[in-house]
Amino acid sequence: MINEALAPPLGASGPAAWLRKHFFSTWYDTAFSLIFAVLIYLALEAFIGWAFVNAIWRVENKHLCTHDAGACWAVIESRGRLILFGLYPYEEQWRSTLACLSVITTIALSCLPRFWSIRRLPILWVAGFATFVLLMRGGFAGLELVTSEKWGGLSLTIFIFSGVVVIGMPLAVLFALARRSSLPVIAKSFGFFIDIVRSLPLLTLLFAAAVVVPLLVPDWLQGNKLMRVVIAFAIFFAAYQAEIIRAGLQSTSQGQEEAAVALGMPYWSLVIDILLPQAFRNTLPSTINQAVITIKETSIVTIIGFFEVMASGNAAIGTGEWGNQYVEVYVFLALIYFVFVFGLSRYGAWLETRMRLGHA
Amino acid sequence: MHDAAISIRGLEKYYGDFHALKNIDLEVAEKQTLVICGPSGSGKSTLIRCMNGLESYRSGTLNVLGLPVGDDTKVIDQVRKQVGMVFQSFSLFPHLTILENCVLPQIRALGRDRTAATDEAMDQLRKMHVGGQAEKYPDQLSGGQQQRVALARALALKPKIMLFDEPTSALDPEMISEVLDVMKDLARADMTIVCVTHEMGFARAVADRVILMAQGEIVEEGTPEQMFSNPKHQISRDFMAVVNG
Amino acid sequence: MSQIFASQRFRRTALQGGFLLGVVALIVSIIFVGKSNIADQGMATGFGFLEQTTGWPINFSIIEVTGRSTYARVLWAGLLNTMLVGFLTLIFATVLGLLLALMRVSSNTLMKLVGVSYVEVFRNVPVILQVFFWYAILTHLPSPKQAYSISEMFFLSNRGLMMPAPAISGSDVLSLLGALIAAGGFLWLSRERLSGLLRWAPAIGIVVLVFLITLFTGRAPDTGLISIPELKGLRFVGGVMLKPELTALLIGLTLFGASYIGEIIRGGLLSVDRGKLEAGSALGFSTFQINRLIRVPLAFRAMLPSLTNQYIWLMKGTTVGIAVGYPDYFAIVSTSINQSGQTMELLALLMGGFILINYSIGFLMNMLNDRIKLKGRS
Repeated sequence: MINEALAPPLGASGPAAWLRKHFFSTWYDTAFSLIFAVLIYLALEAFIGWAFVNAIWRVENKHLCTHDAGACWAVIESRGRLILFGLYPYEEQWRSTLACLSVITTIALSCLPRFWSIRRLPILWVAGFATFVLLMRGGFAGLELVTSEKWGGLSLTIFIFSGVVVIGMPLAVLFALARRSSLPVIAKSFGFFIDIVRSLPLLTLLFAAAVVVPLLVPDWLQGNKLMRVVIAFAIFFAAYQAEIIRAGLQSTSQGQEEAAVALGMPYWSLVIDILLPQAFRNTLPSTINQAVITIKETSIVTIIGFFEVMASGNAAIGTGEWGNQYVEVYVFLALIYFVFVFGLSRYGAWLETRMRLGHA
Repeated sequence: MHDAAISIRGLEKYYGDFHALKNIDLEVAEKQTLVICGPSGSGKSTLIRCMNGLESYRSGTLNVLGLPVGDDTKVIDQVRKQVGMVFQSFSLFPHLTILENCVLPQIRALGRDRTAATDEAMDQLRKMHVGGQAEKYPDQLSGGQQQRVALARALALKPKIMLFDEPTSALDPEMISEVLDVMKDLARADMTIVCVTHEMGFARAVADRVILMAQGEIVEEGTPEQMFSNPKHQISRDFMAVVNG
Repeated sequence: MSQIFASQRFRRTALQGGFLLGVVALIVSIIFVGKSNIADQGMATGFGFLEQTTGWPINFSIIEVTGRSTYARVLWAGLLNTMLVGFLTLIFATVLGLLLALMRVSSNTLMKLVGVSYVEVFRNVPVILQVFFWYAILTHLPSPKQAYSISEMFFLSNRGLMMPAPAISGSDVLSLLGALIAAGGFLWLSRERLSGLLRWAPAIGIVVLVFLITLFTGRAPDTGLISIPELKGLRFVGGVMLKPELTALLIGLTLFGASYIGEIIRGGLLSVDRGKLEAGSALGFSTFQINRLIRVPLAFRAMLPSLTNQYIWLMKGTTVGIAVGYPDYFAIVSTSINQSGQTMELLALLMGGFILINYSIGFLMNMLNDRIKLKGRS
């Protein structure tokens, strides 16, 4: 009798049981499930109807874009280039495309462990950024010169982001090392500076760079507004990233510093060969998170008056023929950001899981 | 009488108000093996770390291989290239392979080229019986293996003096002997050694001299036989009683 | 001699001295160049301008501001505007975030799905884009003549949401706030000396008294106690209007902030060690008791630092208001710089203002943190 295994109670396994557990386990659970199921269905039906079924896709059908019709995606076909490239000359926009692709490739390659060395990563990014600038600016090898005032739309956003990273990362390392310095004056000064920068809104710093710095700096040092703003943004980025790196440096054990010193290795080698590689690896998820935040923050520069993708989006809507298609344009902009931001943060989450479980 | 490898006179060290080392006089001749023992907090680690400039001191003289170890960073650099050190916690670089752990310091500290450094590294690793582990990472090795790698890494720089700061204290008992064995080989090969340890078997086997420290002072010194069979001071007797079980 | 230069102590002192000198030199040169540039452009210096009238109006403020108000008053109005939208955002976003967190930790899969979708959508789109979006929607509402209305008391149009309100002014609201703070302070200070009715009666009394005073005094004759919006010609008169600038900013920041706060709260709830929850269960607590007595208090302690950071971030995020025309502190400073040219002073005021706000939030949260901290050896 004891050896007879009893069959499991009815409904404890199988698809019916799964449904019950996840949707209908108690009376209020059931109620919620039904309410939400209805709400979700209605919302999805309305959204799909608006965005796909009743939508108008081609410009020639624009006259069908009335108040009651679906989404008027025709605005994208008509204004898409403005949103992506700003006022870049029409015939040269292939260069803009290539330039953006080179930065996107750089970002993608940075995700491969192959490139995670203290030598390869900086070279990769400088190469990607340089390619971008050379392609966009031109002025050599038969490429027409297009100065930065004409750069706009998504390509300007990408420029700002990659500029911030290329300038900000080395700055962050500098800040982190300075803050850890054994010379108290330097450590405290940099600590104070980093804390101040981190407590200010980004917009304040960018505004100061655009408007105030020209007053404080002799004429020959002024640079153009874009450069100043990118540098200020990079300093802001570096202040946050420095704290991340510092945490990474602190988590590498002190014994290794001693061992390197006892072996007679010079300080620069200790930092570049031993401490930084470990610090970066340990803090990779936080660094990616910081990069994701920076992508989103590039939208702020529209307030300073730059014609990046938010401004070009607003210009695409304008007040003329497409003035009512603001939802479509904003959704399009949101999608662009979403692809980058969601993609990178998913990657960061995956990386974090992998690192927690073992070697990256 | 040739110059001593390490010569210390009247060394005084303070941590703030705490008098860590009191009037230390010590000489270590070339090819000698010196063992430093004593209760915790006696200043043994502090003393050995002064020898390669990891700790500073307030007054006295400290000469290593004829060079004055003091405030001058250039001199300390030179000293460190000729003095190797092995730590209690191995301190291998976890993101590098075993081989790279031994190659990189040679390249950076001594400027050797990679081929020569690799040959030397493999040579040392084989002598430490860990040659087969060259492509693995530190956390894939046992404690005993890691410590032997640390020793190989230090020896690859061809130092004239080796310092050991409680090299076996962090090891599981079954691995202590494998590390002590290679250290004994080293001593018998006429390396100048200063070793802080509780392992009295090691001292009995290869030490030329043993000193006992307590509360920052050298309480007693002598040959192993003298120290173990006939300690003069009460402190020494108490310590030996505890250590010898 | 070269021995001295190689000495570690000398090098350390020299390096630090050199660094300090460098910083001082930099600051001094900036001041010189700044002064000469400012003089060249004929701009004044000093804080005297704060007493001059601005000559330009702003489109929203809690206290009364006109084109004849001083710079000081206008800047103060801006600061109040920032704090208004900031604190409202913090409150709404926390409530919504709590709701989201509960949805995500519930056992109902559909609720979890909705929660996750919300977070992923609103977290991954820049906040300024979200604010633009809501502003566009709100300003594309019908004009006041065709406004949507509820029972002839609430009206929604492209000018904003009009609601009936007690006939008190913005300064009165501030007095009320002051009374609340005073009452709170009284409650705090008396927590160990008095108890029960003796504590609560005076506190509530202060608030009610101030409310009644502001309600019944300082009103123009024949305006009722409650003013109801009425359409007069092209616009509404009376009641209180929630302008689209404020509304869009509030909605955008709240929805964005809630997605982050929801994750923080969720993280706090999940971080409570299972062992402790099981211990509660073993002791016979009901699920509700476990949540109230064990899970929520421990989760709260765990999430406080992240929550503080998020609040400070949201406060700083109010600066995007300028993009939709909301006159927050930054917007006012920026306009003032344009109009008066007193760049340096205004910038200093701007940075000072935000540093002040941030440290206040940090200070309050730290006080809270210290009070509820788990006492132990950590």
